[in-house]
Amino acid sequence: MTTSRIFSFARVLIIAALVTTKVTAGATDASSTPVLEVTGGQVPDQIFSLSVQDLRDIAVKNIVTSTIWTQGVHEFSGVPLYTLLQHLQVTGTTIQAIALNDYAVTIPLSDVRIGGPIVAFAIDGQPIPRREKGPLWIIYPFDQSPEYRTETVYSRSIWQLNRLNIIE
Amino acid sequence: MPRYPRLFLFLKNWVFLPLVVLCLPLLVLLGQEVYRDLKLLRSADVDTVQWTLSQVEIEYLDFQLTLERNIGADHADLATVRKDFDILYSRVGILNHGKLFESTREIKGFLRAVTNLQGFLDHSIAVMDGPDDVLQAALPDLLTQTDTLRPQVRSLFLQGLAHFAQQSDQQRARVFTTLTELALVSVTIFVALGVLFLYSLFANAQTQQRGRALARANAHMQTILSTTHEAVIVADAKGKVVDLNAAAETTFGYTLAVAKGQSIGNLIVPPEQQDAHRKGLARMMKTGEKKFVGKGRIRLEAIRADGARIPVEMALQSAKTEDGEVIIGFLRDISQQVDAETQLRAARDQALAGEKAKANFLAVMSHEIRTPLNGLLGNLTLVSQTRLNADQTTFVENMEISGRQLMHHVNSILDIAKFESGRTSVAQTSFHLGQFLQEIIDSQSGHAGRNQTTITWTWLGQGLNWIIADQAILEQILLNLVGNAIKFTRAGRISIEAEQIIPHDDDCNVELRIIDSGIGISEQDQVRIFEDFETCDSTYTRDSGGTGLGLGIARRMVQLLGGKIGVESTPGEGSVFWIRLPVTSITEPLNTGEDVTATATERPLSILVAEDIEISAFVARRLLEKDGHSVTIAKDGLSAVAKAKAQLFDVILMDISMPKMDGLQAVQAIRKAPSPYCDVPILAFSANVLPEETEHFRASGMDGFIGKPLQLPELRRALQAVLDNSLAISSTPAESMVNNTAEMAQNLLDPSEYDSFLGRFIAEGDALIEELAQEPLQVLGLDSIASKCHQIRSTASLFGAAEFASHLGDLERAAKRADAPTCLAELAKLPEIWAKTRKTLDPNCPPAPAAK
Repeated sequence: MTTSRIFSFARVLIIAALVTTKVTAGATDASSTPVLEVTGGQVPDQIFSLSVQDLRDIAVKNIVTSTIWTQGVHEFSGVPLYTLLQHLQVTGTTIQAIALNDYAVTIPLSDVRIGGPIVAFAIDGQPIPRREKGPLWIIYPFDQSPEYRTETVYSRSIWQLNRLNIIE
Repeated sequence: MPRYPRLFLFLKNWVFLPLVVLCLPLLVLLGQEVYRDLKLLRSADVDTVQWTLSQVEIEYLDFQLTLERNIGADHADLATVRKDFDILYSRVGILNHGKLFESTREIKGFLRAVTNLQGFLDHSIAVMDGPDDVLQAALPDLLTQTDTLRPQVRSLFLQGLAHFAQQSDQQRARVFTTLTELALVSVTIFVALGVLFLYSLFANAQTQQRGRALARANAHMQTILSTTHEAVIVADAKGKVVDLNAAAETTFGYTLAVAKGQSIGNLIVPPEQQDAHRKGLARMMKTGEKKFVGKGRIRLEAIRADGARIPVEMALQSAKTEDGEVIIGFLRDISQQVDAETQLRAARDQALAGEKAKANFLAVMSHEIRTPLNGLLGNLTLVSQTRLNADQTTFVENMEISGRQLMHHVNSILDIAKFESGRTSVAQTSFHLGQFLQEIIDSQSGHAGRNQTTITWTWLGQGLNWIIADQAILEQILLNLVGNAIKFTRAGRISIEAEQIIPHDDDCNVELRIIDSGIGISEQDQVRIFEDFETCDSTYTRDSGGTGLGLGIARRMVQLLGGKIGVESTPGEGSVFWIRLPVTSITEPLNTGEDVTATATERPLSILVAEDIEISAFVARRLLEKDGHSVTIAKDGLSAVAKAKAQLFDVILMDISMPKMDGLQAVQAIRKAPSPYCDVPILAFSANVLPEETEHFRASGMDGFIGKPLQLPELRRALQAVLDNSLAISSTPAESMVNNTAEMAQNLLDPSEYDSFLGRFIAEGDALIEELAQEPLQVLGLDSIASKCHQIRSTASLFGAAEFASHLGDLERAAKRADAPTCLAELAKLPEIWAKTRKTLDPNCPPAPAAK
């Protein structure tokens, strides 16, 4: 437990360093701050760092749904996970999604399809603050089908997402 | 057979339907419930809850740890503090707002703890989002606050856990219940299906069995149809041939292949009947009326393929099949039967004609034989009165015996002929059966005594007294049977047993048995003795002098009366002849001569008696005057009318046959007279006793009828009825008491008067016989014979000459009918009877003068 904690702590430090680098590179806008790190795929050492703006540039899709963690129906905006991976041209069998608090979950690539989950960066048109489970949140269209309202899908719907590791 | 099982099957097949109907919705309902529960289990937001709850505590501790680590640190890692705060904040947000915790938020302690925690977090936002030094300074305070809140965070976890554990317990229980119900319904359906399966096995077996039975029946039917001699043709409702069997092929000469589909009318119906056939078919199709179907066999003519006509017997039946109604015709070629019938009918007609010819021949022959025979016998009598030597006397006596025997035979044949020609009719009269039998015994005991045979009669069981039957025919039958018994019994016993038959044999209710201890009849003879000209033992018969007609006549007479006759016998021991007759038992009639109940009328009457015969008038006057009435005599119809118009009588007794004007004309004349003379009651007073004649009298205006000779009781009753105004025509005039009349006449008249009248009667009788002996039909004519007979007959009755009177009556009626053969027959008998009568009436009187 302690080791993993220390390890995760170390990872956080590295990311922080990276972010600092980017910031110093001249990006002052909050939306241009890298919030997502994508690793893995065919090239093991390749790391993609993406800001909210980067994600928004790839594609935006809205999912209107309720969740078990919030009250009422909200409109979530984000880049479809499928489009994101296609855009980054990474392939694999499983995606390991990791949150700020080092919560990690594996999402099989079968989930990643058109009409599937999005990496949401806005709720009701507003960016999602970290304090409200932002800045990134994997949202499935829960209301659309009961098959999205299962324990597994709920566990895959990770908030405060900051890393995606595609495993071959 | 076919309807009931079909209904039964239907019921059996559908008995499971309600079960299925009941179970199916239940199953659907339960299935839905199970699906919902399973969905709930699958959605299972519940499990996330526990993780979230534990995560709250972990992240809270994380945050606390970060705070502790950074208090007093030189390079406080405030970013981590802020990050852990944000993570904790996000998590608590779920507890506070998440749909997941809607139900737990209803628990007061939980809500309070969440609110407190949220309050702490919200309160801390200002510091968190403030400058680093402010945050740095606030860290110890934040730590203190987290320490204080710690137990509440712990309680959040515990309370939530307990709540969700309870919730999941409930859900499990619900799922259990649902699954149990499902299991129950499933088991029920399974059992029902099992039963259904077994039943379908059973039903299948039954169907197979039925199928086999049907196949068997079909095979039988096929065999029957192909082997029967009856032609079977099946046609549809339009009359087109559908099927025919082998017999039909041979009978009509068409093969099935040729006939199939053709109109039955064109095939076998003769041309002249085709029109009727077509109309019948059209009518059947239009109205459904079937003239011949199911109406049994009818005969008609059919035509064969080769054009030959054959008589057939046809029966039609209709049946409903899947292809509509069919008519099945059963036809039988009856050519041979028709031929046989024709031959039989011809044979019968021939036989009948032969019988008739025989009867006529017998009748004529009998007359032809009797006339010369009478002459022969009469002359024999004359010869016997001449002077003869001993040998001659013996010869004459022998001749007379032979002649009488011959006469008896001829009479028997004549009787048969009368029966055959159907001229005998039954006249019902009332009489006392016991007295009747006693009279038979009395008349035959002398005859039996000559054979040293005793004769008696008795009732077995309950007897009958008064009955209605034809006394004359019954008498003839009994005399015949008793005569036979006497003939064949030497020194033995003859008894007549009478018995009521209970229960009745058909209509017969009385049996009379004539039992003798004679020679008996062998079994093979018993069957034929009732035939004509049959005798049992020719030797003996010759000895006894029988024609073999007696029993034949008896049989005919019994049959005429609607009865039966039979014999039981053991040769050497005796015979029992029995007859069974239908008779009507009646209560004792009032008008009997013996039990005189009638008395003289209450007041004397003035009476006119119209009567041409002196002695009758005389007797009537005496009788009436004895009862105190005043009597006026009229000797013919004219004077009767004159007297009836001149004086008002209380009653008129009117003879029918009178000179100048007969009784009927006289009555009509009186009825036309002025009132009150026309209203006098008039009683016919006649020896004519036939029922149809009494009807005739009434129609002529008579009020009543009294038979001749006069009987005191009958006369008294009639007169009383006149007084009571309740006259009725008596339909059964008592003529059977003739013997009493003689006594009555003797009592009424003093001896000299009686002798005088008797002498006159004998003279008249002799004259009549003499007159009738000479070719009477040619000399006198029938009318004259009738009137002469009538005159003498009244007187004869008065003197008790019953047999003579009765024959005169027969002769009179025959003459009136212009029935010459019967007249001749009666005429031939008359002299013999008169001779007998004459002897009885006056033994001292010299015999009749010889006919010249």
